[in-house]
Amino acid sequence: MAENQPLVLEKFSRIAGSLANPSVAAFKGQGGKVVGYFCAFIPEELFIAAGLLPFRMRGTGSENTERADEYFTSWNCSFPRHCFNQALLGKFDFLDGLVVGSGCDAMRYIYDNWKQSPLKTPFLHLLNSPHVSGKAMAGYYKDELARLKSALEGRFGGKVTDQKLWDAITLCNETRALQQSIYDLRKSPTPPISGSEMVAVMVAGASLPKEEYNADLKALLAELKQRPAAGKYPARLMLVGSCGDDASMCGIVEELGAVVVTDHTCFGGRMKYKGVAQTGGDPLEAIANYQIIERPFCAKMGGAHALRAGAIIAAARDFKVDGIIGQRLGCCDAWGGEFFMLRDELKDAGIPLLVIEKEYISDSEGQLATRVQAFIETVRR
Amino acid sequence: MAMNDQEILDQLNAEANEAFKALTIAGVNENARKGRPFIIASDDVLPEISVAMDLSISIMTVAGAMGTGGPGAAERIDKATEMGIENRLCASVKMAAYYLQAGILPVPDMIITTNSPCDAVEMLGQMMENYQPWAKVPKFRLDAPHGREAADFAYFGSQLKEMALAIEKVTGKKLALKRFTEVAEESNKQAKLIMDFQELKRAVPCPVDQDMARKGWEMARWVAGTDPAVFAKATGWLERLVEMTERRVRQKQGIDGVAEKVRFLWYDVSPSWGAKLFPRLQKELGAVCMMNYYSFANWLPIDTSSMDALLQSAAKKYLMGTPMTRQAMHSADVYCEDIVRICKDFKCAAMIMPCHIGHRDTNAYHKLAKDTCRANGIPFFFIGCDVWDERYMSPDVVFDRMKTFFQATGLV
Repeated sequence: MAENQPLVLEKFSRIAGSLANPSVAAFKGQGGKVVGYFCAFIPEELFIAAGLLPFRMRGTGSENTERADEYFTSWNCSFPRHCFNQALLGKFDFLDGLVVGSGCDAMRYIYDNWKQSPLKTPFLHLLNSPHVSGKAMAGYYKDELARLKSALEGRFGGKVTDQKLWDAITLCNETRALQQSIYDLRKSPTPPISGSEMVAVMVAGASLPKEEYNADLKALLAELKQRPAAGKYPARLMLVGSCGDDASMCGIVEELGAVVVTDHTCFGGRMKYKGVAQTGGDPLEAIANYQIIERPFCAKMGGAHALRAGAIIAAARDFKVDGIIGQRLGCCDAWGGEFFMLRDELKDAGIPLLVIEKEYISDSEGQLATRVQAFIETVRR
Repeated sequence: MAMNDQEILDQLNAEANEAFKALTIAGVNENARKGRPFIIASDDVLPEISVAMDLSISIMTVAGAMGTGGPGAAERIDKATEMGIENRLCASVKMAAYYLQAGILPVPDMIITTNSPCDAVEMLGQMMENYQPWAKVPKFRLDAPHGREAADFAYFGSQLKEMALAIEKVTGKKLALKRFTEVAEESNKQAKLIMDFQELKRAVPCPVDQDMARKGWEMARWVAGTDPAVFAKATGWLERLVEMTERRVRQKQGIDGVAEKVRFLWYDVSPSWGAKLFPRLQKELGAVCMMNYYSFANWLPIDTSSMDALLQSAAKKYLMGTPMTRQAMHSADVYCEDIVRICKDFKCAAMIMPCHIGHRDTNAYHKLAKDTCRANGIPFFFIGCDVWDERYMSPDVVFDRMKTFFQATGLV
């Protein structure tokens, strides 16, 4: 599907394929500050309301974990190891701050390691997040967000008012709605955008100023509606798992003639899930409720497995997928447990599942391709 | 005729080993058949509350850990993998997941889950919640925060209150202030005894095997959680331990048969194969382990001045004084500061970092621990073993490596 690639997609592919990008440089050139953050539950709205550019951390371009291995052993998942390696190589030197969330054990200790490493990021914050979905937990998270808000105000100046937060919520909800519109196009028997291209769309969204990105998404939507149909595919697949900023699995599927039409990953489909409610008087409460009660999609969130499984099955049916490929990073306890539980639920729902354990940067694509090919053969139309 | 120290130790060990049977999967099953409410938790949920409510709570991860030391353990761990449970999950949790999925436990009356102390236990809790035969069982979830400020303790204290209400709804038993206060006072007495034991243990030579503190803690915390009647008995057990240790310190007696040469800190869980390592280190090298996670705990008192104070201080005790929750739930500072303090207080000449392969936390901050030791002049040795499965690295290999380390650093 690379031929006839819309210009916006070319831009998104470039941005997703590297860490630094011209829009970030331009933002900084105008005196703007860029704050990196890990994990989908850390709300971009807060950074935007503070006048900052949020940049979602990833290990794009990493070739090994040589430097990070001094800090993390191979009994930790490879995502934090690659990201931290990139940091130690200076690839994140453009950051003016970093917020780490207490998502999983390995991610949490990026904060401690970053703090003690030679890295000199001026602002560093650990955002404690609950691991259970519930009202009291959302209340705790709201207080933690308020603490982060004060820290951002203290470090970068400027008051984060409720109005600025509501404006940021509106902006990010628009992003989610536009992303959903593009996802919806993939429900077609002849989706105008491939899974690999969609990864680039979503990753770019976490690396660009939102106003610019939303304008690009509108242009992309218009272009995609004009894009010639690519023909039918022998199998329509869904990707489920953590991360999702790396398009290699989509690439394998698409090399084999099938197509990824939707996903449930940290960078992907989970990001555009509905939107923050714009009712009530407290924007931080609205954000906390969204992250902890309405979208508790990190596998570490207790009491929310049924909701996650329901969302995955609903998306699988909505997008008429023939099977699901589960991507689990080695040593990820959270997704190890989640896939164990999903296995029976998807079987009951009549949705074939292939779970693949892989590394964040994979050097065994040939082996993966063999397994994916066998799976496609079993689910093809 | 009065017993000599060895006889006292033998008796204390025999009592503890007998009591620990209640923690095994067979003990959990037996508990479930006793006819009272059968409540099962994914991990430790503070026994002071269940004891005060005269209830028993069995613990899945403890049953799993106990199972890793018994016959047939390796086969059961492998069965868990065959069932589809993530291969690189901590082996004690794999064992617990196997017990769950094998369907060998009856349907409980209530499930309590917690995200502490680690990702693996969190996922075990989710598996328990979503285990189909237990689908209709009432559930309560504890969310242990990673912070350690007053707001964090208040947040967790309010959850403990909710937990007591949820238990009351299922069992009809209430958490009464008078009884909770009595239990907390007993708990404080135990905490003081453990502190007294720790103080005595500082003597040179070390008077009693440090593992006795772990056993005392497990009696007071885990066994008492499964059988409220054991709570007071644990106090008596600790009193006898302290009395004997005090006498040995006065007489300047070290551990029997050990010529103490070097004292070290093993800052992780005590391995299920520890009996194949530590006595050998003592006898052959004079290397005495002074502390592990489970020996270094339980000193935090509970404030008995009001129900709110009870709950909030119990929350603090849980978050900061529960082994592994203390070391794995908080920032690496806690772990690193503990190393320095323990090495200083207990005159440890070296820090051994076992770095259990299933612990994502220690595997992510071993460098910080090493740097801390270097800055404080404490020789540091990293192992990287599986504390629950000796097939990964045998006790003999661990012994050889530690011996080489002690010799290379001139400590033995």
